[in-house]
Amino acid sequence: MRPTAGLGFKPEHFDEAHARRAAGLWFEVHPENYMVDGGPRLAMLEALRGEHPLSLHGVGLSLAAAADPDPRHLERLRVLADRFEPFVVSEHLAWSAWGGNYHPDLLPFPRTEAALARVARNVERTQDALGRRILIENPSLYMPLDGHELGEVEFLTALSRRTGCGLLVDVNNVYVSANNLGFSARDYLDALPAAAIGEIHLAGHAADARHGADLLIDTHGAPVAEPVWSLYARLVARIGVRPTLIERDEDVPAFADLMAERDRAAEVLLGEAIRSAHETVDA
Amino acid sequence: MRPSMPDLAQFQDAFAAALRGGEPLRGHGDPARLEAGMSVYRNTTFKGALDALRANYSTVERLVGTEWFTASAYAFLDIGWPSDPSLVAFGEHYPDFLGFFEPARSLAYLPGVARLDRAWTEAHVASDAPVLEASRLAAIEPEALLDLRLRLHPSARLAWCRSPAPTIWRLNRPPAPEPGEVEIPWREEGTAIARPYAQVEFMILDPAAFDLADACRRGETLGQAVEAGLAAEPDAALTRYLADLIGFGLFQPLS
Repeated sequence: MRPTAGLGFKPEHFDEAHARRAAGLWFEVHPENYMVDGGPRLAMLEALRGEHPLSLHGVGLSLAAAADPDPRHLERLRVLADRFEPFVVSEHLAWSAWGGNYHPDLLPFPRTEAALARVARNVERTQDALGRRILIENPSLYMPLDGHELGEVEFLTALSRRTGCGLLVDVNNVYVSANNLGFSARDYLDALPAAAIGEIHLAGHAADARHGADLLIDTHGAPVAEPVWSLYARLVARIGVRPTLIERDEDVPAFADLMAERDRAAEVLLGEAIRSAHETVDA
Repeated sequence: MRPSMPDLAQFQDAFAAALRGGEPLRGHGDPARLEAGMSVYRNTTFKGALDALRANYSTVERLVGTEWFTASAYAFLDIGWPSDPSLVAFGEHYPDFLGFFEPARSLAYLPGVARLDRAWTEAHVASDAPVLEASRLAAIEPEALLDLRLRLHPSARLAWCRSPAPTIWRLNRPPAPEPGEVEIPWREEGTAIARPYAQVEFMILDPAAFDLADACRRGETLGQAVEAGLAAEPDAALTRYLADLIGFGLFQPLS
């Protein structure tokens, strides 16, 4: 069964996640949480992987930094990918590690031609080390920066073309960035190259305490908002089905509640699958 | 003519410094809007580091409370940020830091409790490995026994504390004990923490048992380890201590 809609894996939900049977259900983890030598974490992941497809979604490779990806980190990621055989491996268009410090966040940068060359080199190094293609996720942005030479869709499209990497479209990030920087989320999503898109993320956001709705924050701490569901449905109608993840990292509700959101995404995908099958038949 | 834009590395230097509370970022439009955005990144970054430290020093936080712990975490971060994107083992030097953190001066047991939280974390993520069974030793010729070198399990951690931190730590581990006051005799205590099977285990050690285990850790023979134990406590029931340590799962199989 091909992966359809999945959930970010929460260890506190292990028993339910492990036991749940749903067509195409899959789980995603941050590999950085599993870069250990042994113990219960890895045993849990092993058991989960025995029942469901797995995705590795890295947060710490810092591919947009003006430095090569840390070879030790790459090696640890390769070991995990070889052991757990994920159906997809992804990272972010962002930097985090710099100057010997790791900043636990996904940080922005001016999208210049030089930056594109650097990120492309880093993506290639990563794909070579892993022996596979990776997906790159679009970031959430909180303020404009000077110095961009390329638009974000332009940058991601060029990156994909140069390196053969795919794109992970986080629809909530598009919504948040569009709100914060004043561009059209719809136009952004319409411009993404369909063939490059390998996965979709959906998550919740919140308004900044001080600045209100002018500054939305990608909190992963709430259900997916209705406007994001609409953008998602529109994207799927255009590009077709893609493995879709519901991300929830804060204020985590019961597993059943997460599955309800997951099931909603699965329904969108099923609807699209049926529609496109009819089109093929009718053609 | 436009002033030349900083390259990516220069941008990152400036951004990272601003992120960690240094010189604010400049040259990217309206300063108020820039600062609003930087605050979001700053909050997320600090929260990520703080959450990692809280996860790894949960017993310390339980003893001092979240507010005190958070203040100590900020002071700790002031000295050094995480260097590894895998935050699973972040905060290796936090116990040492507590040793010279002024607000902790009256809490003499606290660095010891932190060391045990650290030992627990290291045991939790250590390699899986088989355990020495007592029956295996019984099969050895008595003359050869004292020449054996027992190797500690890769997950094993030993700590000698000059305070009853081990007892305090044990009393504050989950399942959550009843809140309340407990009379604890003030004495030095040793501990062994290991993960011989699926879960992390913990054992309080008397001086002779500790010195025996520590001698093994240093690669000494069982005979030398026995001498070390007897030096600590001349009347110690060392065979019983050794049996307890083996039963605990402290050692790897003989090579």
